Amino acid sequence: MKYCFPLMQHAGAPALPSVKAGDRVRRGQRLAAKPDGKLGAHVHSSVDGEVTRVGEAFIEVEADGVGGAGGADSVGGVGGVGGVEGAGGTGGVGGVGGAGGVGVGGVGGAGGTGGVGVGGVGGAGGADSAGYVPVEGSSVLELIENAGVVGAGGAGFPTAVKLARPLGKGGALIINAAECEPALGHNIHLLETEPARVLCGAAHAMRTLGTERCIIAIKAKHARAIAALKDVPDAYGDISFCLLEDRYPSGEERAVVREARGVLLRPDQLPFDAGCVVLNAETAARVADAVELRKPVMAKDLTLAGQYRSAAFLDRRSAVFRDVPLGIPLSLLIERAGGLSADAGELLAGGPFTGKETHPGDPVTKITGGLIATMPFLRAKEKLGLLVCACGADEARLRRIAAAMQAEVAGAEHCKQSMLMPNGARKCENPGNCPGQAEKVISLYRQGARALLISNCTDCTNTVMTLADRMPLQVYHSTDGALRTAGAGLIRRK
Amino acid sequence: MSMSKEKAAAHANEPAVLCCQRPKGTVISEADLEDPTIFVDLEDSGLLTIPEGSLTVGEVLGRKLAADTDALTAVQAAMLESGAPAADLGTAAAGPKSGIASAGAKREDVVIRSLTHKYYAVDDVSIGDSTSFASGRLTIDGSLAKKALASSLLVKKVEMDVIRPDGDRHIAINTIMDVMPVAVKRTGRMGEGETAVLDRVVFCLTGVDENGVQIHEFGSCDGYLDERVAFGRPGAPDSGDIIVRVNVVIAANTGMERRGPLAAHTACDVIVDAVRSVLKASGEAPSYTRGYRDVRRHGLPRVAIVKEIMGQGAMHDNILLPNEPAGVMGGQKNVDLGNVPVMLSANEVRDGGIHALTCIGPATKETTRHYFREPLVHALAEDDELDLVGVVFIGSPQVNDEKMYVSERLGAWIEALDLDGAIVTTEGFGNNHIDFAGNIAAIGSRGVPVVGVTYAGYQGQLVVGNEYMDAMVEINKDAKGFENEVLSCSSICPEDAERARLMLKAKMAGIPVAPAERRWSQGVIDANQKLAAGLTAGR
Repeated sequence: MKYCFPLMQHAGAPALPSVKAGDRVRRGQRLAAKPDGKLGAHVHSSVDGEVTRVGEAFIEVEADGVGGAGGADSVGGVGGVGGVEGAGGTGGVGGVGGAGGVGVGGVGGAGGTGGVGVGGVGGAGGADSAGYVPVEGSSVLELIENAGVVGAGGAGFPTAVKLARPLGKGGALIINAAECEPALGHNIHLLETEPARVLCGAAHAMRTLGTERCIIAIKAKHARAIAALKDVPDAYGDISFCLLEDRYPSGEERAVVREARGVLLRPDQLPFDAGCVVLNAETAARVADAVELRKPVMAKDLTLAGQYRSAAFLDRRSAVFRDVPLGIPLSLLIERAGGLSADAGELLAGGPFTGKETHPGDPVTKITGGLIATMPFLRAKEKLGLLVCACGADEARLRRIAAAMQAEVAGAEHCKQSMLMPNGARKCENPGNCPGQAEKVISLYRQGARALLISNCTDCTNTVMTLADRMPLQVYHSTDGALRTAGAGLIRRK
Repeated sequence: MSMSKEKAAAHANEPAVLCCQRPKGTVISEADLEDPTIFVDLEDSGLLTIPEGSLTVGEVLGRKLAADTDALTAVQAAMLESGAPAADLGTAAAGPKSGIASAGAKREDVVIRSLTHKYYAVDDVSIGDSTSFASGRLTIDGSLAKKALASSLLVKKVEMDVIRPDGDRHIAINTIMDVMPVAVKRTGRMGEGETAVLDRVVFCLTGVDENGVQIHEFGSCDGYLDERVAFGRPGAPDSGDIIVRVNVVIAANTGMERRGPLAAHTACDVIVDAVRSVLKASGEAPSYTRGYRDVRRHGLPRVAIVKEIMGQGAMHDNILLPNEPAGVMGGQKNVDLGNVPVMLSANEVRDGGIHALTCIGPATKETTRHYFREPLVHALAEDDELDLVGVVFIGSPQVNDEKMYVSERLGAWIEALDLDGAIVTTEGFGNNHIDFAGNIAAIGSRGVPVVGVTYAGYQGQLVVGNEYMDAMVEINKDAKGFENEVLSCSSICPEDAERARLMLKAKMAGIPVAPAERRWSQGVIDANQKLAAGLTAGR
C-alpha cells in the first residue's frame, strides 16, 4: 500500500525532501527536513518501505509487509471505535481493526490494544514499540524539533518554536483541552485514557518555558477527563483548571487566553503577549513521546463522524480513532468505518465549523483532526443571505453550501468583529462574544434575502436566531449537515 | 451593533437595547448595547419595540443584569440588580478648534473690493425690430433668434416670446434649462466696480431635441409654467417677473452629450448679450442700487463656503467666470478644469461669476440666477462676526477616484487657509452625495468644524456618511420629500442659509448639535427655523 506524506503539514515553509525515489526507508526515518532558518517542521515516515515518488508537494512510500497494497488489514488497528466524548466507560467499544497490527509493521499497535478500549500508550503496544528510528537530540527543544512536533489542534505551528522563548515572570503554559468543535472527541478520549502522557509533555514544555504554572483549559462538562488529570500522581508543576462553557469557539486560542488569563489579545497578537504559550492536549502528548520515547510524529488522533455504515456508527455516529498512521489515505479510514452510507453532502477534514472540504484520496496528516461525512444538503427555496463568521465557515464554503442547497445568494455580510488579516485570513476580534448582528441581518434582508445561511459561533447564532424569529426568516447553519449526520444538536439557540 | 465608548457617550440619553443575548450577572458595557442610530430600521423591520419607561444608555452602563436577557431587548429597571451606579460617561470627542470669538487676535476690517449693482426696473418687454431699453421698456430684436440659430450647427430652431406676470401663465413649456438675469459690467472686473442689472425680467431657456426629447436627465419640468416653477425662489423667476422665454431645439440625441446643452446655452446668450449691450450704454437712472463688499475681518473666525457643482460631463457642467455677469462667453468649464476647487470671492459670485449648465432634476439644481442671488453667500458675507474668506467651487466628477482626488485638493486648500469653519453645499442628490461626504470629511478630518447643506428629504436620503456629517441642513421643500420636478423648489432659500449660518456658529462655539433623526422630519426643520428666527430677531 502507498503512503503519502505531504511536505506541508504545518505552518511555515514546506519541508525539503531528504530521500529520493528508490530509497529504502524505515519507520521513523526523516523523509524531509525543515528548511534552515525558516519556520517549518521535519516530516517522518510512518512505515518501513521504499520511496516510490518524490513529488513537488509530497513523498510517496510503498509499504513493506504482509498486508499488501490496499488491504484492509494493512492499516492495522486503526484504533478502537468508540470513546466518543461523553460515552460511558473508558472509551472504545472494540478495536475494529484490532489484530491487524501485524500488517504493516504493526502500525496499528495502539489500536490493537485499543480493542479493550484503553488505547495503550502512544502506540507503544504490540509490535510497534521497537519499530522506529529514534529521534536524536541533546536537549528537549532539539528532540521536539527533530521529532517534527507541530500543533495538533489544526494550525500546525511548529512546537519547538513556540517553546523556544522562555516566558517571563508570572508566565504560564496553557493546555488547550477545550475540544470546542462539536462532534469531535479524540482529545477528551486522550485525556481520559492517557492523562499522564499529556501531563508529561506539559512538564517538558513548562521546564523549557521556565515556568511551573500550567492551566488546563477544558469544558466543565468533561468531569471524567478532569478527574483523570487530577488523579495523575506526582504531576509536575502547579496545575490548575480553567473551566470553559460548552459553546463554540471556547477553544479558539485567543478565547482560551482571554478566559485563562483575563487578557483579550488583538487578532495580530500572540499568546506570548499575554505571558503564556498554548499547547493542544494532543501536542503535549506528542512532546512526551518525542522526549521520553525519542519518537517522531508518525500518527494522529482523530474523530470520524457522519454517514458511515459500520455498526459502531449506528448509535453514536461518531468515533475516535487514536494513533492513525500518517500518510494513509482517508479512504482507508472510511473503509474501516464501514464505508459511506450514502452520497455525502460534504466530506470535511476537521470539525463542523472550520473543517475544510477534502477527498477520500487525501492522506492523514499531522493536523487532520476529524473526518466528517455529512448528509446531502437540504434544498432551500428562499434566496439566501450569507452571514460569515471569522470562526466558522468562510464565504467560499458558504457559497458552495448555498449552491449545493440549490439556492440563489442575495448577498453576503461579514460579522462586524471579523478582521481581515494581512495574510488574507479572517480573525475574530473577540471570539465567542457577539457584537450584535441586527444591522447585518437587515442589510441582507434588504438585499433580498428571505433566509439566512450562517457560519456564526454559538453566541452570535443566539443573536441571529432572536432576529430571525422576529422577522421572521428561516435560518440554516453551515454546521447543520455535519451535526445532523453526527447526531449532535444543531447550532441554534442556547 | 455594539458601540464604542465614544459612541455610547454620544448616545447616553437614547434607550438602552441589548445587542445580543446576555446571561444573568452580565455587567452591561457599551459592547453589549445596540447602536441607537439603527433603531428606526430595527423598528421598521419589526425587530424592536421600545416600551415607555425604558432606561437610557447612560442609566444602564455598569449595571448588572438580574436575569438572562434576550437580544434586542430594551432594558427596563426591573431587569437590573439594584445598587451599582451607572458608569461615568466621560466626555465625548475633543472640542472644536476655536470659539466663536478668537480672543487676542487684533480686530480690523479691511475692504478688499466694492461692487455696486444698479437695478433698472422693467415694466414691459416686447419683441420688435431692434433692441432698445428706455423708460422701463425693453424691446428685443426679433431677428436675434435667427442670429442665435447661427451660433451652432447643433441648434436647429430658436424661438423667443414674452410671458407676462399679469397674463396667462398656464402655458405649456419645455423643460427649463436655466433662469438667467440680464446684467452687464460697466466698470471694473467681475466682483468690483459697477454692474447694471435689469430688474423684474429674467431670461428662461427651455429646450428639447429634434425628436422631442426634453433636455434633462433626472427630472424635467416640462408641463405648465404655473405648475412647474417655484416662483420666488432665489433661482426661479419671481411672481412679478416678466419672463423672456427662449426655446431652443437642438440636434437629435445631443441632449445627453456635452455639446448639445452647451449649444443651447450659447444660442440663448447671443440674445441676452444683445440686451446687455443696450443696457450697458443706457443713460437711464437706476431704480435702486445695492452695494456689496468683500471684507477681510481680521481677528474673526475665518470661514469658507464650499459649493459643490456638478461636473460629470454632458449637462453636468458649469461655466466659471464668464466675460459678462451670468454669461457664457469667456468662462472656463469646471469639467475642463478637472473639477478641482476654484476660489471665488463673495463678490465674484454675487456678480454673476457662475453660469449653470446643470438644470436637470430641476427642483434640486441651482440655476444661474440662483448663484447670482445665492442667499448663503449673502448671509455669511454680511455677518459681521465672521470673516468669509471666499467661496470655493468644486466639481463633482463622474469617477470615484477623481472624486477622492478633488476632495483631497479641497482638504489641502482648507488646511492652507487655516479656517475656523466651513459650510459645504451640494445640488441634486445621489451620486453627488458621495462627493458631499468626501468633501465634508476632507474638511472635518482637519479639525475644522463643518456644516453640510443639501436636499435629502425622502427620495434623496444620503447614500453615504461619515463621522464629520453631524451638522446637516435639509433644504427639502416638497411635502413628501421628493424631487418634485418643480423648478428650484428644494434649493437653498434665505431661511435655509440662516439655519446653516447659525449651525456653523454653534458648532464653532462648541455648542452641541443634536444628532439628526433617522428619517427626514419637517418638524426638526421647523423647530430649527423657529430657533433661528428668534436668534436673528435678537441680533
